[in-house]
Amino acid sequence: MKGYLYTLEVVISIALLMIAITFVYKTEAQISFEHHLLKEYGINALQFLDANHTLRKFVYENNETYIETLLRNYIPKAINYEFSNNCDMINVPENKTVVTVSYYLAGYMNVYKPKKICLYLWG
Amino acid sequence: MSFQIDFLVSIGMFITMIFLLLHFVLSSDYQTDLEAKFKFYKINKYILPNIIDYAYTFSIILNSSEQLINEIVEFDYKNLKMNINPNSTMIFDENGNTVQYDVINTTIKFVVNVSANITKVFYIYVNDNTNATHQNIYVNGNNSINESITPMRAIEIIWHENLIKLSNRSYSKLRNIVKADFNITIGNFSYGVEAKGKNIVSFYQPIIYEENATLKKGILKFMVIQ
Repeated sequence: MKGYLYTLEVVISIALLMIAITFVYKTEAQISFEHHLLKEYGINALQFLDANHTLRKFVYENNETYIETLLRNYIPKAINYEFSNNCDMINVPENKTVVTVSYYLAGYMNVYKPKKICLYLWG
Repeated sequence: MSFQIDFLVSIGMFITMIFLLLHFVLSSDYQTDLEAKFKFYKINKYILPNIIDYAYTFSIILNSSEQLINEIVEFDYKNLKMNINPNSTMIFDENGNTVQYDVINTTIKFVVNVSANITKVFYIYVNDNTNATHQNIYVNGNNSINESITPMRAIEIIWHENLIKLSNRSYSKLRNIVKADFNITIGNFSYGVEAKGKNIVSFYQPIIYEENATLKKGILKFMVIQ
């Protein structure tokens, strides 16, 4: 009878382990999907502003605030974001998982002036 | 007796654990996410590529130290090494107003007024749609300054023609591919079933699209109806 109980204990332990593993797997899968969506929204918004010739003008005028106002129209309200002209991380929360979208511009008008800009997004 | 109680408790705990395990694995949230992801993937792969097209865009910059009236702006696609249909050209000023133009072979001509020391920019959008037609206008003026032309870039765009093609496609066939009811909207265009009052998972993408023979900024929404 004692041996039988040991077997039962082992079975219970395995079940507990499987529950723990399931929890870990479930959380990771959801996070990666959310991150993928955040990134998609960020890239789409920046590409769109670039396509309609708005992004470069305000990037090279260093008008971060106006770009952030424009982005609000194209990023869902549930998503928080911070735009940076020089990829600094001021105003980006430290205690959240933040997705970064980097975007490269070659120049504005007929002036060649490469620049890297960053859009930080979090849920 | 105590053995039997222990045994029953253990069995109870075991069954509870197995139940919880199954519950977490098959929980609806997790499945909804995976299902939605899969259906978006299908829309992205099989439907959107048929409506999202590419266009080329570049800018023309004018700057003069003196005021110019009826200044002719002229460029030739051949010189720009572009093999496109010039009739598909759309020209906009900085305020988004359409600029009328004339096409002579691969050359585009339009006329503008330029104030002294104020940079004027025009945005050109063009694609390789061979079916595009254009109503020429007569252009008359002087060509006294050289314009600057920025490098060309490819951008995503939705042409009206592609929306017409989509609306002519059988919804039930596309539904079989996506394996769910769905809806796609942009501007006044809508395809699929009404999503009102239903549970939806939606995704949207800002994009430039053609409506009423002009280009507009809009949001392409695609919704999977659960």
